[in-house]
Amino acid sequence: MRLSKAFAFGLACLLMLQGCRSDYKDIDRRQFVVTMGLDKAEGEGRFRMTLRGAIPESQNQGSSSAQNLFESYETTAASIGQAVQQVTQQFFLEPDYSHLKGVIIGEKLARADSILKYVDFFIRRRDFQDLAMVAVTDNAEEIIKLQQKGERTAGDNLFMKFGEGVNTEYTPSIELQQIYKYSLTPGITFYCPILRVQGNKITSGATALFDRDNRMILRLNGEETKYFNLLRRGLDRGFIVLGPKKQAGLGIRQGSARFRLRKKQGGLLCEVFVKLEAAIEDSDQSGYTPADLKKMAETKLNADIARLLLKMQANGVDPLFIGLKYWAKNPGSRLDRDWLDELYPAMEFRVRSEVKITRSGTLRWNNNGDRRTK
Amino acid sequence: MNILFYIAMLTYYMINNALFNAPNVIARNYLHHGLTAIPIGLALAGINAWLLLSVYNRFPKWTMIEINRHLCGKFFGGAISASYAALMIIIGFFMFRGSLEVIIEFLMPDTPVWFLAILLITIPLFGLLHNDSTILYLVAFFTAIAFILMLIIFWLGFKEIDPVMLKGVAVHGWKPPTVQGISASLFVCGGYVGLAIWNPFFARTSLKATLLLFVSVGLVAMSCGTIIPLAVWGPWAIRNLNLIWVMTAETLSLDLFVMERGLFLIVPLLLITGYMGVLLYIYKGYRMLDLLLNKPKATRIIIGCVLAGYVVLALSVNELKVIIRYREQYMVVWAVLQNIVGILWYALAKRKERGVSAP
Amino acid sequence: MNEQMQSIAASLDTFFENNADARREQIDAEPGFILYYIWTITDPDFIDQQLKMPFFRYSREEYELHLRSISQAGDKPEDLPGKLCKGCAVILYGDQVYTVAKSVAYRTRSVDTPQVEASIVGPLEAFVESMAVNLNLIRKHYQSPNLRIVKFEVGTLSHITGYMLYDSELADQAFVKRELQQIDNLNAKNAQAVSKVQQYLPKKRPLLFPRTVVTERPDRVSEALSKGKSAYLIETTPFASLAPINFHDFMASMDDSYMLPVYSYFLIALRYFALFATVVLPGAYVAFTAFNPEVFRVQLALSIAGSRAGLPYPAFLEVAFMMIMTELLVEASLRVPKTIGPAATTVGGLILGEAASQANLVSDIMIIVVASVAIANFVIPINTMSLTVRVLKYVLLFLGTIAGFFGLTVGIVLLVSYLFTMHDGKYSLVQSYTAPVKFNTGRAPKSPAGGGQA
Repeated sequence: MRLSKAFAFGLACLLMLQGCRSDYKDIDRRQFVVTMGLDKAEGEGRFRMTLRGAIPESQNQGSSSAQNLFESYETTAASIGQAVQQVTQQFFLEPDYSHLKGVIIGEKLARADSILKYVDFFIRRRDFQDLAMVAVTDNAEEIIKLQQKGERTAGDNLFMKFGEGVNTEYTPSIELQQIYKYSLTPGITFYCPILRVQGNKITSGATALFDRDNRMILRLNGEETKYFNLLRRGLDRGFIVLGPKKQAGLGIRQGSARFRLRKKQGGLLCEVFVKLEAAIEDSDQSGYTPADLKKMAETKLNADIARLLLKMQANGVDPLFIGLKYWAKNPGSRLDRDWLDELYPAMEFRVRSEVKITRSGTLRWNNNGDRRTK
Repeated sequence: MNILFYIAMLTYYMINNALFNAPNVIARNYLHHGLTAIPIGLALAGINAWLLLSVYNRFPKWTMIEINRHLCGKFFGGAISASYAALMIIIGFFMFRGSLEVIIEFLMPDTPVWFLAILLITIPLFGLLHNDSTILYLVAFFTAIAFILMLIIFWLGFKEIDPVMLKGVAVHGWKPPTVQGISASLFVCGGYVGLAIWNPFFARTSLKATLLLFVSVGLVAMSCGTIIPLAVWGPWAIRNLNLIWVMTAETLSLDLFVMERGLFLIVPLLLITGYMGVLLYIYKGYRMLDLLLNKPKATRIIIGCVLAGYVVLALSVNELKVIIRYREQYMVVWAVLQNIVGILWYALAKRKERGVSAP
Repeated sequence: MNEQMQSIAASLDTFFENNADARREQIDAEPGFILYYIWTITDPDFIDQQLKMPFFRYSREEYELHLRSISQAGDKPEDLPGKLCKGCAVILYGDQVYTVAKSVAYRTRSVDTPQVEASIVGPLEAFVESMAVNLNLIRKHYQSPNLRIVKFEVGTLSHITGYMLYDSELADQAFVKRELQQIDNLNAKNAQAVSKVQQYLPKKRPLLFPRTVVTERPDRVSEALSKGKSAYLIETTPFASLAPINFHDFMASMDDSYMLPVYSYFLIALRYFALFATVVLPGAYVAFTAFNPEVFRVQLALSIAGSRAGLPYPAFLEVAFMMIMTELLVEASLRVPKTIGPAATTVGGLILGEAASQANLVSDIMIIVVASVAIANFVIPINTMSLTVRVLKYVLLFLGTIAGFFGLTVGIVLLVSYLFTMHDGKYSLVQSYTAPVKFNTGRAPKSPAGGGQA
């Protein structure tokens, strides 16, 4: 009896073995695509896709130390699904997109086309992670093909830039899933960091802002990017140049911004409260007292931030989600396209910043100056 | 000691439905119907639990079958019991196909579905080896694991929440609910239907513990399970998502040993609750039929046919949307039946009692 | 000597014909006193001093009294060969047959330190292959007047003596009664080891998970007795087996109760982790590398891919191959003489592993996985469970190979589910002994009168 049961079980197992059709693919039979670049190509709606496929370091590689970390693949197509299918022709291992950690979009493509259709594809397909970082650049192919010396894992010169490695105020990082949800939420628009290749290195320091049709419309420079990051989610490091006379400034230790929306005659009033804890790092401004520095910094911040806000308002983009903040505060309101058409353009901004100088590092402030005067 | 297993069973229902069932109905319709279904469903569940438990506690040695026979007569009572057994088997199929859907989508996209279905059906088949108590221990064991996973995921989800969105969701959530939303929310607390079989095991069930569990675990799990996805994705984007909690977990990045994607925390949770769901529902259906028909061999054959039917049906249903829609309707039917039976039982039990004491 | 005696003597003589170590000694000149014994299992001093010498020293009446005091009379003639094989001396004296049981002297070793279950702070005595010594040890560790020792015999051919021990106050009487009944019905031809006896006790022989904990430590037996469990010992094995048990007994070492609580909880947690790791890791390796490499972070995925680059066969063969190599190694180091054991492990473990990785036959990460699986396996304190676990991982490896992570989870749930169905009487394998499973019979009372409000 028991034997017959075991036999039946074995038979069932054998039958089940028929089932393993094609999901089994050994890890060394796969090539992991770590970054992807999308550039505009000739022709209506066509684009060029560049992939960086990682080549793993073999365990018995012997003395050959100079080894390529990656291989790149290119194809041109009009639809992203087609492109992903088409590029498979060039692989000799199964392309595996599950570790795609960076999507770089060429600026021309971003300006010409809605990028939602690409993002939708990545979210829809199970084998692309939704956590991939997105950035805009002049020439995506250049970034994908750039081989940097310190690169250990293929592609880490790119995906480590967004906070996993270096932490900088010049990169407003954004993930695929964030783009997807921001573009579907009415009344708000989204942003992307801009990268560029400079002397064999990838440099960040600008922001692309997208309009409500998910096309890139505006480019913020480095300084504006910093303020944008400050307004968006606060800073925990950075530097304000007090300029214009002297190119010296204060180090930021902690910075945050708070928005308050109030109804006013003829529209809304948006009050922006910026709070900054600063530390003295440059001893250049030894002629000033901390109170002077505080005042200078506040004036500078008020002016710069107001300019940035007005610039975004003039272009009809809302990457700071002021619309969402208004919706969240007001039970009766609805968030839809009217926000960008009616309320947002008529809004008035008032920026109030408060700078607190808290520390002077391991040295005392103005010690040198004191001695000189005595 | 037994109360622990009762709590585990209720908690299992809460985890399963608060994460993989209620958000599909409530969070998806947030923009029109808000979150009011949650407290209303909870209150309904409390009333229903009170009605049913008072009857169950009156007959501490009986299962639902005997109580039905006693209160409602042989035919009508048998009909109610049979309809419950049928409901168990139907929801078992929804659980089965739902779990299979996730497996197909995220783990085994290229493997033939029949193979996955046969492998999955081995779990309820093994369930037939169990008896009433061992299956409770099994469920309690896996519920403990699922509960820990759920806490980790909630904690990670809280870190990912957009505070502005959370505030907005809380402010705009007070709109008239739908029947579907209420029944989904009632379903989250529906673990006490297990008493249909386990009433003799749990003997006099504590109503206080039940209600306390509704308010503590049930409310927390349900509101976290609905609000976290809403606050992470926003009420607009969430309408486009197929598997809400799986997609929410996909947005979580974590630093746990070799993993860095929250998706691979939710998949084990989903699999555990899915397996236990199929196992529990099939077992409940099996035991109810067994008690009803009193013919062990025939019952086993029926359950065997049901399981084979699951596999065949699983191959023909291809869209998750269809399953979700049918499950919504199922929950409405279930909620109506549950409430009717609750009131009926209570009234009949009172009448019988009076009838007995009168002469 | 009467006719009956003579026929007995004749039958014993025929029994002795082909037994080279059997002795027949006629002490008296007349055929009135014949002494039979098997000298290899009897004590020669006893025979000389208690049986032969007094005959010459005392008068016949006194000797008869002496014989009666140390022996028993009136055994059936057909039982006598069996008695002789158990080490008794048979004396035909006058008109009586006397059997002297005290003459038995089995060779045994002295009490040694535990070989399988080592302890750091606990007692260092282990059972040996002698009932006298073993019971001595148990009585030393458990000096309660409630200790009951039931003697039984196993093996329809080998007739080996065994004992069942329980505490009459603490043990569950129903369970003990059932066990004694099962012992009566025991039907095994030849049972040399206590673990084998245990397999034949229940109606259904356990297939995968052992029914009892087999231990060589008297302190563990004493602990079990004090918790109301019963213990079995058999003359031929230096082990006792304990029943009923729960799963945690397999994972508990005696040191747990001797050490400080934080430390021992830490060790218990570690052991459960080891159990999980050793069962799941091989299957998980295949499931994750071959089906779902997206689970790993990219650095790990690439380093696994790199270490597997150029390997000639798929991952599941690689795992199976390496695991069988380690199994062989473990088995070999168990079987070879102690002096060359370390050499075998060195050759096998270090040189073979290194060479296999150099020759690109296995990946480095695979070697790490297999080594940690083997190490984790040895952490499980009870050997029988350790062996079960050694087999379990192949089941999960198979499921992980055919269905990846899904198969792995199905396998885990099925295993756990199977484990949860195990029970011994009303004692489930996964439940605390003090709160046994409450089984309902499945069918409630039919008549409404039986179940109404109490």
